Amino acid sequence: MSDDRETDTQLSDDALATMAQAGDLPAFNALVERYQRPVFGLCLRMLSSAPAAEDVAQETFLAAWRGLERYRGGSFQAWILRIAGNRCRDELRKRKRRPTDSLDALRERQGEWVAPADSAPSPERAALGAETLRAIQRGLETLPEDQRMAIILSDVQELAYDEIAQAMGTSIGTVKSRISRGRSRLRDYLLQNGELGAGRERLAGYGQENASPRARREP
Amino acid sequence: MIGRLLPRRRIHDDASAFVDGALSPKGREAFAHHLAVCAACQSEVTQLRDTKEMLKALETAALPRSFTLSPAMAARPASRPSPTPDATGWVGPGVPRLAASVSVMMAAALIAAVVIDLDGGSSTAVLQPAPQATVAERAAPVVTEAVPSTGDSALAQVPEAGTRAESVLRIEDPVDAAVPEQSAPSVVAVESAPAPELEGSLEEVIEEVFVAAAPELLNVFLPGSDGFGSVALVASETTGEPTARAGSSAPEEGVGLAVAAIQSETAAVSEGEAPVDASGDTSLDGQAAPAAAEPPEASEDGESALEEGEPSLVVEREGSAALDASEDGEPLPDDGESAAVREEEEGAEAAIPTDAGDSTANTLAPGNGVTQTTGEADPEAAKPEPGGSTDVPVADGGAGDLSDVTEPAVVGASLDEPVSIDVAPADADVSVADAGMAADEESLAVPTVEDEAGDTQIPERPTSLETGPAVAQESSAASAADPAVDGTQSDGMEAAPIVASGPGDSQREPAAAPTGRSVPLSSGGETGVLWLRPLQAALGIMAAFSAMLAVAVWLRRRARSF
Repeated sequence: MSDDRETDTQLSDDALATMAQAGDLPAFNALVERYQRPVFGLCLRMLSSAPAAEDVAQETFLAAWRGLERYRGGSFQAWILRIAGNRCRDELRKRKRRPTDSLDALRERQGEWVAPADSAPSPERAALGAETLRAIQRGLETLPEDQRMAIILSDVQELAYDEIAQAMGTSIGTVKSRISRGRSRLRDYLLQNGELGAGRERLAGYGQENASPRARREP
Repeated sequence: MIGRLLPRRRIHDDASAFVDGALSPKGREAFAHHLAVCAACQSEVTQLRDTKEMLKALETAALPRSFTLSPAMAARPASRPSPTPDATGWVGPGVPRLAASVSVMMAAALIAAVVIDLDGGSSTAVLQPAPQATVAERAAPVVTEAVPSTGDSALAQVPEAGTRAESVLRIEDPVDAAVPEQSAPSVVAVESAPAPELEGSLEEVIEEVFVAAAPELLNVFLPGSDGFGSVALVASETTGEPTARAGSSAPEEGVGLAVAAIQSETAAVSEGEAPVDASGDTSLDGQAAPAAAEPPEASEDGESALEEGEPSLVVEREGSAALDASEDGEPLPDDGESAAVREEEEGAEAAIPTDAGDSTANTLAPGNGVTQTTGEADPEAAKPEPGGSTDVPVADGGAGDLSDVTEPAVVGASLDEPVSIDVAPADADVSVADAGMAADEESLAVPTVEDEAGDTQIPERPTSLETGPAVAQESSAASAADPAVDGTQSDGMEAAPIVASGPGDSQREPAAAPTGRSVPLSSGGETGVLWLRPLQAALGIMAAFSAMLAVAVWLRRRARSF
C-alpha cells in the first residue's frame, strides 16, 4: 500500500490521469492530494467563505472524476482549476440571485477564518495582520470575477501566464490585461484604505501557520 | 523617450507584466530604460510589487480537510452534490423535466386541437341537438333543392382543386319544368366529405380521429345509444361544404334512413353569388356551415328552395325501397353481398353500380322510379372524373321499374336535357350508414371492386371504415335511385348512370327501410373551428418554448457538468 502511494506520488500528472481514466480511484486521489490546496485556495478567495469553498472544492474533484474522460493531457492543474473557477462562478451567480447572508456576517466569518490563531507573535500583531488580510480580501471582492480569478491565480497561486490562460480558457494577452487592471484596481483600493504600505509590514511576520477554522476550533 | 512613444495603456500593462517578470527580454529591456527616466512608472511599479506581496499572504490558507474521494463518493450517481438546494443554477433541478413535460402536454394539446379542427368542429356539433325535420318535411319526405331554370345548365360546382371535397354527386336538370309545381328543375347534389362524427365510444372516436387524417370521405357507422345508430354524411370543412348528418330514427320508428346531403353551393353558383351555407347564409370564410338545419321547402308551391336561399337538399322518404328490399323496416342482414347482387336477387329496382365500368346503371325514370338498366351505361360517363361533369342522356317518358315505389315524394320536373352528374375524385365516397345495423368487423374488410373487365380487384386502399351496410356507391346510388329523388326528376327524366365512387368502397346495401320519419339533421358546423386557430397557435408557441427551455437547460447543465 505504501509502495503504491509512493509510486503515485512519483508519477506525473498525465500518468496518474491516465490511470484514473481507467478507473483507478487511488491514482485520482493522488492527483487530488496534489492539487487540493490550490483548488481550495482559489475557491476560498473567490467565494470568501470557507464552508462554501469546501463544498465547491469537493464538487470540483467529484466533477473532475466524472468528467475525467474529457481530460486530454496538458496541465492537469490548469484543467482542475478551470473546473473550480467555473464552479465558483456558478456559486457567485447563485448568491447574487439569492443573497442569504449579509455582507457583515460574511466578512465576520471570513475574518475569523483568515485571522491567525496561535502563530502570531503577539495578539496585537496578529490582529493587525488579520485586519490587513481582511482588507485584501475585501479588495478582491471589489474586482470583477475574471480579474479576481486572474489575480488569485497569478499572485496567490503564482501560476505562469500561460497556465492562467489555460485555466481561464483565454489568451495570454487577455490574462495579462486582466492581471494588470485587477492589480491596479486592488492597489487603488488598498491605497484608499491605507493598507498598502503599512499592511506589507504587518504581514511580514504573518506566518504560514494560519490554521483553518476547523483546525482552530480543535484544541 | 520610450514613454512618449508608447501608449499609456501599453505602459501600464507592461508595468504589471514587468513586476511579474512576464515581459520578453526585449520588452523588459525597453521598459527598464523607460523606468529609469519615468518617476511615475517607478512609483507604480513599486506599488504593484507591494500589492503582489500582500496578496501572497493569502496563500497561507490551510486545508480544512482532505478532498480525496471515497469509493462511495466515486460510485455515486452523476447528480452532483450541491452545497445548497438551489445550487444547480438559475433553475431548479426539476425544471428541465418540468419543461419537457409541459412541452409534451402542449404538443399533445396542439395535436388534439388540430385533429378537432380537421374534424370541422363536428365533435362540438354533435353535442348539439340536431334540428328535427318538420312536419312538412315528413309530408314531403323528399327535399329538393331546385335550381331556377335559366335555360343554361345548372352549373354544378366543381370541387376546388386541392380541397378535400371528396365526393360530389349531382344530378342536374337545366331544363324547364313541365309541371308548374315542378317548374324548378331539380338538382340533386350529393356531397360528402371526410369529416367523421366524433360520437360513440372512446375507441370509436379514437378510430375516427386517426382516420380523419386521411383525405377521404369517411363513412363511420357508429351504433347510437338508441340502438339504431346514426348516419353521418359530412362535408369537408375545408371547402366550406355544408355538413349534414342524419341521426337515427327513434327506436320505435324502426329504422334509420339513408340521407343525402345536397350541396348548398348550387344556388350560389347558379346565381353567381358566394357559396351559401346550409342555413342560407352566405359563407365567406369557406368554412363548413351547419347544414340543412331547416327543412327544405317542398316544391309544391312552385317555389324553389334555392331561390329562397335554402341550399341543402336532403333526400329522405318513406319507403325508399330502391335500396331496401324489405319494406317492413327490418334491416337487411349484413351478409356482405354486393348491392347489385342483392338487387338482382330480390328484384329491387335500384341498382348500385360497382365501379366506373360497371355495366349496371341507374336511370332516372320520368315517372317515379329508378330504372336499373344493364349494359346501357356509358363507360365514359360512368368513369369518375374528379370534379368533372358527365352528361347523361335522359330518356323521355321512360317508365321506371320502380313503379312499386309507394310514394314519390315530390313531383319531379320534366327533363328534356341531359342530366349532368358531377362526380368528385374517385377516391371519394358518400357516407350513408344504415341505422339499426350493428357494426361488425366484416365492415372493415377491404371491399372488392370490379374493373372494366369484370375482374374483381382489391382496391389499393380502403377509403372508409364503414361498419354498417351503407357504402359510398350505395349512397350515391341510393340518392339517385331513391324513388323520392326520382320523383323529383319526374316525367321525361331518365335516371342517369350513377357513377360509382372510388376504389375501396364496399358494396353492401343499406338495409334500413325508411319509415317516413324525418331524419334529424345536424351539422358539423364551424363553431369548433374558428376558435381553434388561435388556440393552436398558442399551444404551438407554448410547446416550442417549453421544448427550447428544456433543451437549453439541459445543454447548460451539460456544459457545466465539470
